[in-house]
Amino acid sequence: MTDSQEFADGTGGPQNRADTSRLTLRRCGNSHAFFFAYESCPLCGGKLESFASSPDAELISHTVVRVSPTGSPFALGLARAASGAQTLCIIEGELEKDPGRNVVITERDGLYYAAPRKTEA
Amino acid sequence: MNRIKIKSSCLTRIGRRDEDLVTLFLEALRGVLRGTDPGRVADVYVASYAPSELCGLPRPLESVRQAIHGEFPGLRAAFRGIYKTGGDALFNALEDIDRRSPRDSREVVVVGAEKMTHLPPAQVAGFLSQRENPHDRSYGATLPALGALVTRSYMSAYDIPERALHQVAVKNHEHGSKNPNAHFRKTVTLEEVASSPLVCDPLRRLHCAPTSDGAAAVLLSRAEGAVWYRGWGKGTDVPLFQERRDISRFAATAQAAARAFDRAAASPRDMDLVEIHDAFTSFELINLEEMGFFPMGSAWRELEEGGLRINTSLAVNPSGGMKAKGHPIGCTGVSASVEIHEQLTGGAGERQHRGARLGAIQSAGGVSNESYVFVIDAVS
Repeated sequence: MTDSQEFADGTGGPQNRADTSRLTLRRCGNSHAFFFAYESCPLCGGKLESFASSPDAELISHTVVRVSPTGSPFALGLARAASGAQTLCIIEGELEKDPGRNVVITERDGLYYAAPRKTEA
Repeated sequence: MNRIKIKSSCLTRIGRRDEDLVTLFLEALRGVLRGTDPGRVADVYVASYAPSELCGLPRPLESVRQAIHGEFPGLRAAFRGIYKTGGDALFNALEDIDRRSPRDSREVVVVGAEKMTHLPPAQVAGFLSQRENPHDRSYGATLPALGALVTRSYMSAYDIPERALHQVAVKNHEHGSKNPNAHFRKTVTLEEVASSPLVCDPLRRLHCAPTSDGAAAVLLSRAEGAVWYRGWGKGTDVPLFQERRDISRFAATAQAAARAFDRAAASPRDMDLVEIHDAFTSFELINLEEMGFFPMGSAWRELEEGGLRINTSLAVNPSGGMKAKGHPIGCTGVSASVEIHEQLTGGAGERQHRGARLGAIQSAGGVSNESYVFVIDAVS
C-alpha cells in the first residue's frame, strides 16, 4: 500500500495519512473482502489484492468468555468492515459493558482488537 | 435387499466412567455384536474426536483395532477412520455400502466413543479447540465462545427471548430423566437454568451440553433389521467461522436436510421424532428451523405451547439430547441412530414416543462447520 492509494471501501478512511490505525485488507475482483491473508479468494478463487480500509467496523456479535483455557475472562467479538470483510476480534474495555455496535479495529501481533468508537462532542 | 438396515444397536451408559477409551469402544462392540457372527463384518468405521489429545493414544485406530481383534478373533474386518464425529463415520459407511452390489450381504459396524471427564473442563475446551481452526484458536475462541456469538446473533435477529434457551434445557432434562443411559437423569427448572453461571454470555452452564464418557455402535446389514436408512445428506459451511455472512444461520444443516429429505422422498412434516444437535440449547432451535420443521425464529413458540415433547406431534431429542443424555463427541452421532432404532422398534421404555414410525437425525461437527442428516424408517 502507498499513500497515494485511495480508500476504496466507501468509508472515506482516516483523514490523517500518517494514522497507524488504518488497516490493510484483501479483496478480489468480485469485491469479496477479507481480513485473513488468504492466498486466493476462498469464495471465487480470484486473485486477492491489498487495499487500505478505514478501521471503522460494526460489531455483529460479542460474548464474554468466562471459562477459557487461560483461566482469564476476555471479551470476544465478530466485526464487519464497510467492505464486508469480517474478523474475530478481542474487545478492549470493560468486560461487563455492552460494547455497542460501532467499533474501531486495530491490529497488533497478528490479532485484531476492537474498541468502542469515540463520538465527537 | 437394497435397503441398508440397522440389525442391532448399542449405547453404553453415558456420563463419568472409570473405564479407558478403548474399553468403552469394546463395551459398545460387545453389545452390538451379541448373538451375531463377527465373521460377517466386512468393515468397522471408528469415530473419536480427540483420542490423542484427550487420552494420549498416539495411534488410536491401531489401539482400537488390536483390542477388538483380541476380544473378537473372528472379526477380520477393515478398519476405517478415525472420523472426528459419529455422524461423519455413519455418513461415510452408508455411502460406501450404497456403492456396493445390493447382493453384498457383508455387515458393517459403525462405532464411536469418547473419554473426556478425567480432565478439567477448561483443559478439555483447550484440547477441543486445538482440533478446530488454528485461526479461531489464536483468539481463544473455544466452541462455547463461538456458540455464544451465534446465539447472541440468533436471538437478536429473530427476537428470541432468553427464556426459550432455558425451556430447551428443561425439556431435554425431562426426556433424559427417562433414559437409563443418560448422563443427567434429573430434571431442572426454568429458575435453575436461568440462575446457572454464565459460561460465555448469553450461554449459561445449563444451556451447554456436558463433557461425557461413553460409546455407541450400530450394526448395518442389507439382509436383516427392523429399520432402514431411507435418506442421508451432508452439508458444509465456509471453513473459517468469521467468513460466514450470517452467523445466526446454519447453512450446512439446511443443505444436509434438503439432500436427506430429497433422497428419502419425505419432508419434515412426515417425521414423528428427531434427534438433533443441541451442544448449546440455541442450536436445537436453529437446527430445527434450518431442517425445515419451522420457519426461522419460530421453533421456540412451539416449545412455549407445550410441543416438541415426547407424545406430542413431534418429539425432539426424546433421548435427552446432548444436553441431558450427554455428549461424548465421537459417540454422539452414532448414539442418535441407537435412539431412533429403539424408538421405531418400540424399545425406548419410559420415553417411548407413541406411534413412532419415521425419524430423523441431525448431527454436526464444530459450530456446524459440517452437518449430517439421516432419515430412518421402519421396515414395512
